[in-house]
Amino acid sequence: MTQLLPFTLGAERYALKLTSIQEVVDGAQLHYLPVTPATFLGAINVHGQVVPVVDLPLLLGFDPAPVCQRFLVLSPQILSLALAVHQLESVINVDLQHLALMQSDEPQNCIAGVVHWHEKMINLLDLEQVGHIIETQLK
Amino acid sequence: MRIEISHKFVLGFVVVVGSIVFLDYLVPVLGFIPQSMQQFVSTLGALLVGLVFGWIFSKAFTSNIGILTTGAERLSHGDLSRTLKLRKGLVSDETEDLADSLNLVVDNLRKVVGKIRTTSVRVNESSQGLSASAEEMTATSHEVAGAIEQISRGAETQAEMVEKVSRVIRDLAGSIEQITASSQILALSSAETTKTAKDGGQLTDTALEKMKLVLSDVEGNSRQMVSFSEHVQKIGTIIDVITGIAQKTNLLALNATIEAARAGEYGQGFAVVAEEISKLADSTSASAGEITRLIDTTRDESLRVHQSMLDSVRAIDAGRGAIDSTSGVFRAIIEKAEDAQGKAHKITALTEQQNKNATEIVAAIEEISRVAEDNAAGTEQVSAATEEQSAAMEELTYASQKLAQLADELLTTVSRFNLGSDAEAPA
Amino acid sequence: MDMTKYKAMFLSESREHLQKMATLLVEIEANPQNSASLDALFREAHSIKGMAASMGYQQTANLAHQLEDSLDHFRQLGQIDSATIDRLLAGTDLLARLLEDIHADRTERSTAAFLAVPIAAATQAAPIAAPISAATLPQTSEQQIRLSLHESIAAPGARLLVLLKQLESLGQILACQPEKNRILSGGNYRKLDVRLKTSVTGAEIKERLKVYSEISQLDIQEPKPPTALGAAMAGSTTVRIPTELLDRFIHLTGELMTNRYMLHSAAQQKNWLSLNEGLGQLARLVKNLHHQVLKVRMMPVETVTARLPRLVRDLARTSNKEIHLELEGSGIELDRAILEELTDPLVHMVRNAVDHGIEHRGTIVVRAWRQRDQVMLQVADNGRGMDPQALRRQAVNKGLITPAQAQIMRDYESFQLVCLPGFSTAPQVTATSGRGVGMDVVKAAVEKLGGVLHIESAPQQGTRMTLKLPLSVAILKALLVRVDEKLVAIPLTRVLQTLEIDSAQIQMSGKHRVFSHHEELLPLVSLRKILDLPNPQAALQISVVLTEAFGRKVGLVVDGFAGQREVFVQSLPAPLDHLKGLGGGTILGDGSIVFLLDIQGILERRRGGEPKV
Repeated sequence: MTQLLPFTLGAERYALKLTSIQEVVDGAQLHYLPVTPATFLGAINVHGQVVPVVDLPLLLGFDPAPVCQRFLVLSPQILSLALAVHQLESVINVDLQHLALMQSDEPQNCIAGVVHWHEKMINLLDLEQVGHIIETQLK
Repeated sequence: MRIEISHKFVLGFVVVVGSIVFLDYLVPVLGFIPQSMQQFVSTLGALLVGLVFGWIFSKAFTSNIGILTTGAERLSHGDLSRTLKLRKGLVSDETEDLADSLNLVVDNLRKVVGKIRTTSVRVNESSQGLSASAEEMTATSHEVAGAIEQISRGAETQAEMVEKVSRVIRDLAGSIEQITASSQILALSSAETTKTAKDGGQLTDTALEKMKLVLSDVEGNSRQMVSFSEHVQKIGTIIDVITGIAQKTNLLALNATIEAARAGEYGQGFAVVAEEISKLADSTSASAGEITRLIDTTRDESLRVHQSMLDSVRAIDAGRGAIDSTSGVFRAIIEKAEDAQGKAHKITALTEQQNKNATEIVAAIEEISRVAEDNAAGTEQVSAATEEQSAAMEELTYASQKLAQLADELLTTVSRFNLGSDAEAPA
Repeated sequence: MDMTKYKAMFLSESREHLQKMATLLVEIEANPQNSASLDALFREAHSIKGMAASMGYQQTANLAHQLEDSLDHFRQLGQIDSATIDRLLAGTDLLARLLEDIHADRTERSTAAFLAVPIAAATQAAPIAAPISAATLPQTSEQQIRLSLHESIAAPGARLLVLLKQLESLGQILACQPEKNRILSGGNYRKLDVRLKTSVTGAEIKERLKVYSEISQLDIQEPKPPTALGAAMAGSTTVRIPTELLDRFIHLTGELMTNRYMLHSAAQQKNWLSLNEGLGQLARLVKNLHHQVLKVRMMPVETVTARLPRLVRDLARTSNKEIHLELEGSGIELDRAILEELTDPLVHMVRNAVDHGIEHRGTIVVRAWRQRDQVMLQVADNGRGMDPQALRRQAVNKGLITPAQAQIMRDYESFQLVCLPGFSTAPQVTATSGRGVGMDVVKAAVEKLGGVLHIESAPQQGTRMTLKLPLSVAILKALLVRVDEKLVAIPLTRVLQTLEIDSAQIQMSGKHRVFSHHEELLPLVSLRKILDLPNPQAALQISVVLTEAFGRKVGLVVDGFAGQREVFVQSLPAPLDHLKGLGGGTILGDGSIVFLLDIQGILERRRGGEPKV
């Protein structure tokens, strides 16, 4: 059983493995981050570390994330970023054996797989893909 | 050689005698002459000598006397121009002296007359000048007199005007006194008004006090309501805090869960705890939510009560407002009355001042008047004096004219004397 | 558990020993009679053997033992010949790789092949064997291969296995992620990460794998040359500090604790005077700490230049040139982080000098010196030099610049062309360089450190490449400027001057705004504009930061100055670390974050990287 943290992006429900997340911060002040494209909302101070914040919905083509809310700080080993999402939900326990790996035609969706949970479909976010998209944007 | 006339006579005689004698001697000497005729010839001769001498001598003498007489006659006619010149004879005698003296007299007379003439000419001139000046002065003093007249008249006019002014001032003083009087009355009436208004004010104040007491009672109740409402608010705030804490706790629980997940198997126990905390936070949130709802209901009700209290307060306030405004009105009246009083006093003071000033002016005017009168008198005197002077000047003129006349006469008289072409001619 | 601690120590010490050995060996080659050096060599090898043996690393111990034996022999002999030196060098290389294995928790590779040929006996076969058994890096290299399969293909696992088999045929797979077993057991994997030891170049591997259309992404990287320092600095988490420094740290910590209690009680009693005093003390202590830490971070340039003699020697050998290397100013100290980043660039530059600079014989001088608050590191050769014309032509041919740009390009800019990715005037790829990935990496690395790369050259007069580096990359002085109500920072080393000019002093030169400064007409660039911020209101007084970009002076228009700070810079995480124009971020005293700007980088980005102003 793996723990996932679900969140919404637009009308879609996504989730991340808890192990990909370092922490969730609330009420952090966004500081100006120059030179970056609009998908970067700014940077926050997380325990003395400078962490850039990415507007995940905007990155994936949804409406931009609402202002002032909680940011998902990802594990530095995966991506040293924080994500802004539409709505965070509570942690769920999922049996990943039921995870159907996606073979999507649109890598833009950054979906690594889909999981059924209590009659709902949850997309597992593919962080590597997210990283690639960001890298492309920064070129 | 000077031989006095007497001498000359003597001499003559001597000569004659002598001649006689001589002749007497001579003739006989002469021989030719006969001694019957010798005495005759001697006597003739003597006679002849005597005649000749006598003729010579008397001629001279007579001529001199004749000159002298001419001279004197001339002199009596005033001709002082010539000197007597006697025939120069061999022997000079007193006739010479007389001629000399007569010349001297003529000279001196001439001089004197010349001088007189000169002087009288001068006098004439001077007197003419004097006359002229005197005329001038007369004219001037007439003018002065005229001016003085004017001044006098003017002074009289001034005196009149001063009188007029004085009268005006006195009128003014009079009216000022009237004003003073009326302003005093005004002061009195405004004092009365003030008093009345003050009384009125006091009455309203009392009424106000009573109202205030009522109001404070009501307010006291209202405040109790407000504080009650505030307490309710506070509870609401605290509940908000609690809700906030619950949310934060939730977040912490979430992060704890994440950490637990990272710790892998070692974190499982921790994950359980984290979940419990999360649930706790949720239930806290829920309870806080309920309390909030209760508070809201209570708040609504208390708001309603508060509202009605506020309404009563507002009504009372209105009443108080009315009283306040009445009180205000009274106060305004008092103010105005005091103001008026003050002003009246001011006016009184001012008018008194004016009065004083007017009196002073009157005094001054009277001074002026007096001075003007004095002036008038003075000018009259001056006028009179000037008149006298004028008369005197006329006399002077007259006198000088007379003098001139006299001088003229003198001159005329003197001019009878002929001074010849002497330098003593009138200059 | 205990072992890991000791392992780290073992690795760090062994690497040091190896480095010393390499240096000594090169020294000895120049001076074969130096018995003192021979003794030292012997001792180093002996130490390594001892440590390895006690740690149980058999292969390492064996190898070290062999080296020690042979060294003992030569030490007694009093001299050593160059063939043996080659062999010994190869031995140290192998040792280095063994250490790597240990570091990565792999089983040690076999040294049997090497041990089979006794060092002494190899003397005869030296001339032939030397090139081969010298086992210099270019021959068998390790490649890090990352590939991903398309999302849409079926049976990814099977395909991965096929690919894996291909790779196996190319060389030895040292590591594989995910492991073969996992793929076999049916995991759904689309990505493969393989470390391959092969004699084939990365380009060739790419060629081979081209046939497989299912590969959507293929990344092949040559890992850093596994000589002592590179590995040491790349992977090492330990550093040697004199105990005296440690004592000072303990002292400081003690004082800090006392200070903390003092501040705490002062705050409780609301005694502001005490509080102020305490804060003053704290400032002093922090400053002290800063100094001590900096000291720890400082290492001499020698750390990176020590490997150069060996490198030059090897390169000279393989290309049959006579090259003399001079090192100057190796004692100058620099921040470790900078030195770490400089390792590769230095190697690249020296390689370039060997390959392209010097034709047959020549001298390479690597100098380090301090200039104000910067460290200059220069690699100069007296060889062929570069012809700006030729460079321009080459760049146009490669489509890197347009002919029009080439026309107006000045000579000093032309030299910078060699730093464009994909540029290489070498007609063929040699074993040592010419892949065209050298100088752009150097330039990027230098600029990332907040430094500047200058290249001077003239045909037949040699080439001089100078790195201007700040003393410390971690802590540097920055100028804070305001732009559109936000704060950004510019490293003070890039700031020539700050000015306030009247708007009346601004003139137009064509489409650009310029202003006159000390009889020069300098272009004005609006920071707001290049950061895509809204235009400011017109102002009478304009704040300008005079800086350098593309070798020219430029006036940067900002809203205002917000002071100078000494800031501790955090480098940005990937993928932002490659973002040109954005330096690190720093947290100011009030907790707010300010980012450092690299003006030239921003300008380059905006102009698509064209090297013209």
